[in-house]
Amino acid sequence: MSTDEDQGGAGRREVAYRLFAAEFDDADFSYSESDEERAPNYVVTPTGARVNRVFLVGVLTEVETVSEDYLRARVVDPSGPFVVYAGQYQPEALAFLESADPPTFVAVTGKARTYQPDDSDQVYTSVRPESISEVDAATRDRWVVQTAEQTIDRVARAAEGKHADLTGDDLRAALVDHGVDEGVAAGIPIALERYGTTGDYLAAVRDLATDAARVVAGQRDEVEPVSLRPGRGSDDRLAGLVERPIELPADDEAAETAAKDPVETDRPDETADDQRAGTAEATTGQQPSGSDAPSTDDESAGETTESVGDVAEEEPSGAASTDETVEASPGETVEVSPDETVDPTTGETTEPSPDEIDATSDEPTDESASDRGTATDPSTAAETDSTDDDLGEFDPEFELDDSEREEIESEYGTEFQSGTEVDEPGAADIDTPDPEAVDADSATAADAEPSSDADPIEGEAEAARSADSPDEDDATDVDLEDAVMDVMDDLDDGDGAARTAVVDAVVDRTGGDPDAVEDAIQDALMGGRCYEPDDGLLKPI
Amino acid sequence: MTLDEHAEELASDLGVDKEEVKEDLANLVNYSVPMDEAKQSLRRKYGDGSEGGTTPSSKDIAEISASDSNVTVTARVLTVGQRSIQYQGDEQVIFEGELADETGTISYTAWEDFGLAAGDTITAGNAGVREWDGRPELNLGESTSIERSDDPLDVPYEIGGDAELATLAPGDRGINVEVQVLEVEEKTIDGRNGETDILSGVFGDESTRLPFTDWDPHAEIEAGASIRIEDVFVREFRGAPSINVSEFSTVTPLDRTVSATENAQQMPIREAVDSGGLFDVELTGNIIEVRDGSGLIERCPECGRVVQNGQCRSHGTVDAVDDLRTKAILDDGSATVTVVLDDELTAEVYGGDLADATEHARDAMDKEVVAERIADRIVGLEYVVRGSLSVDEYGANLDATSFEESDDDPAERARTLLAEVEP
Repeated sequence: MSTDEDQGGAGRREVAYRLFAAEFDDADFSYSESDEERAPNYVVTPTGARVNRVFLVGVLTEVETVSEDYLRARVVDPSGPFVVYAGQYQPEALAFLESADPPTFVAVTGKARTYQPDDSDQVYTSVRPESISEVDAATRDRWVVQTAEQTIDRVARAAEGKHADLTGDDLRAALVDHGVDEGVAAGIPIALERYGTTGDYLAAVRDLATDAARVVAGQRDEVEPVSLRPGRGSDDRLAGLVERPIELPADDEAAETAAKDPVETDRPDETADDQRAGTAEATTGQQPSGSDAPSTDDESAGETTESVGDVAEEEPSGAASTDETVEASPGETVEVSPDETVDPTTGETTEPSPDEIDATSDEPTDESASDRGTATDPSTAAETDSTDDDLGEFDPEFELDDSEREEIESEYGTEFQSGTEVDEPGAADIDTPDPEAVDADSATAADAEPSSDADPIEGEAEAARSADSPDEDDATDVDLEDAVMDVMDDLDDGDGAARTAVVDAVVDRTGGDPDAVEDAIQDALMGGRCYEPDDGLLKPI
Repeated sequence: MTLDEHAEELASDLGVDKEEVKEDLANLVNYSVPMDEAKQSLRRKYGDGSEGGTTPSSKDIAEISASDSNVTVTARVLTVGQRSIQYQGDEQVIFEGELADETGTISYTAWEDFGLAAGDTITAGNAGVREWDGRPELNLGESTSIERSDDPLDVPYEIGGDAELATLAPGDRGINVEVQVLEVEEKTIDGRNGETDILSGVFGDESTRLPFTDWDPHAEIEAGASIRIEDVFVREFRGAPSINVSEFSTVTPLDRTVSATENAQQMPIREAVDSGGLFDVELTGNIIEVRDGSGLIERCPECGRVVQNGQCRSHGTVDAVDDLRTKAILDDGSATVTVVLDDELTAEVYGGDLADATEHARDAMDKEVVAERIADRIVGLEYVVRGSLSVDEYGANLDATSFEESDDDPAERARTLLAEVEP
């Protein structure tokens, strides 16, 4: 697959897709186009939206604490809820949600994620916010119309794609020639293959979109839920959805390349097929037939949400609403108890979090720059103990033995002049790091259980590294850079962290060479991970 | 093609007796010389063209590729533009435009005055092929022969350079426009031949508005005038098309008033970005992020560039000047652009001027509070943004001249959509 266009050059930013919650909820497939750490991750929806970033506007109805510094929110559009997770690496979103007072209209821009609990065939989607802001009803209504328009358009393109009877790269190329934008052109072949999206499903999504527009237009009170799984039903309505049939160039190249299926070869998740098959089976058994779908014409708006929920609950392995299963601990069957409150203990110990799953098993994510590396990511999400969190930020190669720990603890108060030569004469004069940060750090060092806790982190770092590149040096550089960023974060008291203090702290933590640390700082500056708010100060971005 | 047909083609190309050619050709083919090689051999023998080496074969325009060295084409002249260029230190007048046949169009540059005119049907023998911007172009030079035909070649393309402003793209040449002069000013520039007076300003027609430069000031180009200009060319200026009027352009006042549109072109962001740049466009989308470098910023007093820590990239340590600016991501689901708001528009969205912002930052002891307040006010909302769009290696940037929150009725918008999709 040629990816130059969509992940290459400057300025090509991932567009924020507009799609309804019901369609997003039906998605269960995500992939990355390459093993590169920065390759974007995409969630492909049944109509072929290939979503890295999503923009949604809806009603914030609930904010729940998953664990300390980790919140789950529901943002509801006319078709159902989006589930939004915000953790410490989304500080602004977190702050917004902490002080939010539902119900309120919000706009969310964020990254689309999929998540699969350990012992479950079910894949859930969620949004990791880049920004959340309060908006008004008119903005929500405009979003609904805009989303309806783009959904209707995408359904038509998907129908045309399916009607053209091509697959894989041939279909993608034909769609591009057809004027379909790169993302959707790449997504439709994948959607058709992964979901077996039927004409009935496409028609149902289209009906959903027009219903949503009717609600805004005041011609309808509510939206009828999509009661069909993407691969169910027939293609009888397919032809009716085609607006402009794809004209195929009559050439023989098609036959030649037909065998090549990029989706097949690029698929990062070998087991996805099986999981999906399992899901489909389970669904089949419990799927209410299309005609059983509750007729909602005469129901009040208030009941709509109910009926969406009902459908979800009848279909634990199918359209179950996203949040419930996330609460289920591995091994448990899906619990459907909407009013369930989070037990803090359970939350801490058993709850897998989407981010953790992403970081460890899913793919090298594209956000490492902002999230300070995959290795540090999981700890933030999964752990609630703040000292453990901090441990995760240590350089993985750094293991403290007891004496070292003691030394650091005692040395911290005295500008930690440790065994490594700290030759900056100005070191004693510089702005001392915020005492709180220092305390936290020394506490971390003292409390940490390196043998047990550090190991999994190292293992993950290992994985990240091998996925990243075979070049060991590179990986080490990145690690040092990560360490620099972590320290900088810790020492930053708002105005930035003193550069010399950062160097000293990193040297101390990693035992690295001060010059190498300087280089790492330089790399971090060049890589846009931090900047110099003032002479001698560094501030993370 | 049979041997007979090959011979016929060769004979007519070379202007020699067909039977003679056929005999030679048959002879070579009997020795199992490949047909193409045999024909080229005969072309050399009968001295087609003045240059040695391979001689051109007749081709349809669609068949011409950059790997051809020379070709012979029969085509209709669509446009002719005259231009003066600096070539190896000398001033040279060249003629440029487009040729077309039934199969396609191709750009050409004539290094001699062949007296070409739009609408002519010509056979250009031995035209050079070069690659320009990934596409083949024709060079008509001293070794090229131009034959005119009175029998006009039918081509599925518009003949002549008349065009609406909205259809113009950088690289267009030999264009004729009918416009109203919306703005014009005289400037003195330090040109190739010392100080030169030029005119610059903005033209408008029914389709859109475009900036122009007149390198050889024409008295007819005055504010408010409705004029027809023949033979202009289009270049890129700050990422958007710009009309160039030259000494070879003719400017004629019109006895009608060209109504210049007040409105900018409206289109999805993807279409605007794909166009490569637009002088005046109106885009609608949601602001989904306020980027770094927004709010209270510092500029170099010399060059106006944004400086960090008082360090200008060109001027070193400078006494930086405070300013307001906003860079925000506008996204409509089809693509994104970075909207750049100047100090005035930023003051509007911030809700205060530079002095307010400076005080705000001082009180908070953090400049970022200014950008944060701007983000609080605009992120998530839908805006209609008008301005000039440039697309380059720095991405797609829309320099905003106006930035208004959408205030249409969503219900009306929904009804419009429904009318479109459910006839």
